[in-house]
Amino acid sequence: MERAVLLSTVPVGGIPEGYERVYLGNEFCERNLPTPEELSRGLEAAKDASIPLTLVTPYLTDTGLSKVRKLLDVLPSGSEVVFNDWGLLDSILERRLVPVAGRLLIKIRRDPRVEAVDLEDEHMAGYLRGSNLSQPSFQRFLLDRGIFRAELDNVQQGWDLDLPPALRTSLYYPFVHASVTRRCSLLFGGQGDQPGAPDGSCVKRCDDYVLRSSIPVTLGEEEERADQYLHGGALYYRNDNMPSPADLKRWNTDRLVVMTEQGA
Amino acid sequence: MPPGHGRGARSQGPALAAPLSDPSEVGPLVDAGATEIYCGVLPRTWKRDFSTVIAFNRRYMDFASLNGLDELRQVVREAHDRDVKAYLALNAHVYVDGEHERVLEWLGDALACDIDSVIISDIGLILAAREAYPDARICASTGLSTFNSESVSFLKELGLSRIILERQLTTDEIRHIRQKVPDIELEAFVLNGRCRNIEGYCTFQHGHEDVLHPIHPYLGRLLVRVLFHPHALAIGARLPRKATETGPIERAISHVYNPCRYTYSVTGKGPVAGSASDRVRSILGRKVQANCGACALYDLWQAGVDSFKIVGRVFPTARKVADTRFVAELIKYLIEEEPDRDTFFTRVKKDYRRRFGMPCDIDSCYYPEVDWCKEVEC
Repeated sequence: MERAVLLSTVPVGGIPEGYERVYLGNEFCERNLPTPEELSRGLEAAKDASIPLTLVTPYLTDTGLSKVRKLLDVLPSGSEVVFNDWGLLDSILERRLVPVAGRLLIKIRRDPRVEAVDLEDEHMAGYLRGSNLSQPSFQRFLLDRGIFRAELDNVQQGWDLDLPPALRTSLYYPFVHASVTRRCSLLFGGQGDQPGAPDGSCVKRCDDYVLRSSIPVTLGEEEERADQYLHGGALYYRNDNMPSPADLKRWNTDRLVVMTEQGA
Repeated sequence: MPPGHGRGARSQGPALAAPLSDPSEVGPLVDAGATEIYCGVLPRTWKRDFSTVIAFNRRYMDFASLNGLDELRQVVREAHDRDVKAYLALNAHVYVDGEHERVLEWLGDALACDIDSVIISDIGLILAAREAYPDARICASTGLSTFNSESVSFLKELGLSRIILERQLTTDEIRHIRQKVPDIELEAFVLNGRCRNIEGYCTFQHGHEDVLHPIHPYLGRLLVRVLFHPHALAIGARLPRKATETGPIERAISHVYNPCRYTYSVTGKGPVAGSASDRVRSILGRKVQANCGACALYDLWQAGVDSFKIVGRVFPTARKVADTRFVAELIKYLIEEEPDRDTFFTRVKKDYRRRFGMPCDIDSCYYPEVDWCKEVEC
């Protein structure tokens, strides 16, 4: 199992030790992408650590697309790019880079309250563990377009997957994204009482702050609660339980992407 | 008015897509100004096998959907008799094993009812539908989270005929998309249902707490647990259609109460201003009023948007009709009177206050960048 670390920026001290790959970028916010210069520094740091770099990109407006294309131009041919917007796929392929289908494109129910569900129930388990990745038509679609890797959340309920051998998966651990917003003044980032003003004037407070909330998640007399985290534009919950080796094998998972910044 | 962009019908003004959940609503909605209606269907067999909790068309209360193909056939016939198009929403974000084949088969039956188009979110279903029903006209649901012109082109290449754009785009971004991709229909939202989260990327289970929270908050929490319980599959989650006509239920439906709306505390590396968490709480807990983007009709029409959508399949008939009339009258004013931008804003302000009994609020605004409150006295 390859171990990768997901970073939004390259730390001053370089890439943390203990990883065989670095993911650099942002899945959920185009305002918080690295600049081409920062990406170049990331590539240098990865080279120093003798590990490959995967660029991570979010859903994109046309402005964001222009920014990301400049980043793609910095990458050496054959580099991996996690894309979370279908509009970026052609740009990746044109540059002979390797597309990886990001978590936003792989659909599954991610509500943290599924902890309350009895997964012995066949219908409910199928409903919660099912995803577009289990559809043969979608699998063919990915493979036909040269997409041989997809990114999975470590959802509590697990996945029902029967994948062709050519389609590999990465598992993000331990934070599961449950929802995403573009209106991120929740992080008191700047626009007064205009939560929806996406004018690009981000002050990137998400580099320093995380919002935490405790929500009820279980059945029973004793109410159990779980934390959820709002980091930048994404809402996460934490699942520290690693899937079994048998599950990982069944899901063709050969890479673990460790998230360290989301619940700080 | 701006030049057309190749559709040929631009001189007639934009389409207005109104939500429908009962055959009796066709006439009132068309009379109110709808030029298209869209609806979902929750077949009885689906309810029997999967309940309403497992979504067929992203509506979890059965009063938000038609009850079967007979009702769909009736809706399409009455809509066509009135020269109005009928769209079917099959817009769950994903259909899993066991659902996928049944939905595809069911789509064939729905197409035989002569629907004009089907709205789909799931790329796997789009691909399968294109293969099985090559003549079917398919719209990209907003669940596909289309934020840019390349995504529009990508979906166009998949054979889609209309793209329902993501709610959180700005008017300028929509204009740019239209300039880059001139030859496909674009639809934008203008009323109701604007969530803080991006619909296609949000995976919270809806339709349980939302209904009961305003009556009693603990009942809401209890209900979510009941509905997540496997026995709920047998019981189903049914509310009588008439329940939607009562005030508390209507308020409940419009009052989203999901984990994203809980109170948050702030943790971080640096000092946190004393008011920070209060501010977060205030943003999350603000009063809910109708989400509206009517003031952007002017800019969006100028930008080349073809169709405007009103959300609200769950709303009672009277609300649907009033909402449709509100937007339709503004569109009529825009097309027939050709007002300048400021004059149009003033009219929107006046109509909003008359329709909803309060001034519009930028927190509930679909397109806050328009920010016309700065230009026109609110």
